[in-house]
Amino acid sequence: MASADALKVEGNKWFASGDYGKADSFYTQAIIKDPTNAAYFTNRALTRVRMEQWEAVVNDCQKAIELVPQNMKAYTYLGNALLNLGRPAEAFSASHKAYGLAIEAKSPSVSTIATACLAAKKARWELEETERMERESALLRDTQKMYRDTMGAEEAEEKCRALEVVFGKSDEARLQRREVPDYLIDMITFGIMFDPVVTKLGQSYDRATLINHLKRTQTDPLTKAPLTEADLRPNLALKAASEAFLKENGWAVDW
Amino acid sequence: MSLIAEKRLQKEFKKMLTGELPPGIKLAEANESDVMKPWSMDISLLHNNALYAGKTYRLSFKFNRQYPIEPPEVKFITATDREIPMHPHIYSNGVICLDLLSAGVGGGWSPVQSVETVCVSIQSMLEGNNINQRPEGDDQFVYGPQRRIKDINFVYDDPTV
Repeated sequence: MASADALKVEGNKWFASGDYGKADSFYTQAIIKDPTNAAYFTNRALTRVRMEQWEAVVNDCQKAIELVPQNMKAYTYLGNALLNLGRPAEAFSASHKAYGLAIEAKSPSVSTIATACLAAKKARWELEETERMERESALLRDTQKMYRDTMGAEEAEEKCRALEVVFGKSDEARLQRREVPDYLIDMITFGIMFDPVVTKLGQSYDRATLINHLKRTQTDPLTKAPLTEADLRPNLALKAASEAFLKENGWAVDW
Repeated sequence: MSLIAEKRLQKEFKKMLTGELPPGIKLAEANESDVMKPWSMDISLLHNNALYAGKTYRLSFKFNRQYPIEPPEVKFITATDREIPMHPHIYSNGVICLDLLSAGVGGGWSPVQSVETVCVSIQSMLEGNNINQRPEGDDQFVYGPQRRIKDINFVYDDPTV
């Protein structure tokens, strides 16, 4: 009989060759042999991410996190699955957890995970926007109905039209504000900063991209003076500003 | 998920279309649906430098997936009415010897640079020159064994240019 680890290795082979169904079944056998190894669950979770079996991914990740609480991979896949299941708020907290763990572990996936966090934020905003628009159009409908029920036809129509103008204006105002303030823009990606860190010079950058740059050369992008990851400090005020902005302007993630 | 390189180039592209570029710098060609494809930029000088008066030169920018962490590959190219400018740091095949474009430890590239700032630097590199010649060893470099721009180790310690 093959050992659990041998079964996992076999699973990895099928995974690498793109046969996710076979990989899944080998990981499953490994799990039956040894249900205490978190890696078997995260490997199977990734296989199921590829097969887009999101509910199953969630289960595997939860199991893996029970076994190893600080499981970066599990939180990463979990965030991905929850986002695909249309649960952006939970997706965000999973991805955000993964992000923290990735920073700690100096993982090369930091940028990818940061992008996942932003995607979840945007999805959460979109969901809220849809709900808000539904609420508002219901409000408009109900109020118009009230006018029509209680007033003479002519007066009611006039009021209904006026109401539509007012509601329309509020939508316009919201759509016009599509600009990200300069102080939230990262000088490297030209996108919005999600986790700003400040250099000795006082300039802020998004952590994930700046770390990428420092891997190539340990210098300040502006002055070329020596700069290492240890020199960076989180810019908490700017981070709060970015969060507040994104809460109202989820579109800015893709901007 | 789109690449950081792609998103950033899209923003640079949009800014060039809507905002204004510095005088003497124009976008000649870029592919809006695939911004990762090479771009061409036209450069002309603002002051009356006799060497380059009335001329416009064309730069080609090639980006890799690591842009802007890694520098773009930039060189002069020929086209109708576009020749390679004479300069002691520009080879006759268009290769430019400029610290700013060099990656690696000690290289002058920084991810806060952009297509626009590179153009401005090259523009001022031409502005400041009055020597009508090619770099030393131009023939050998241009007609010798082909190397990729990135494999070349230029020397940047010439204080005269």
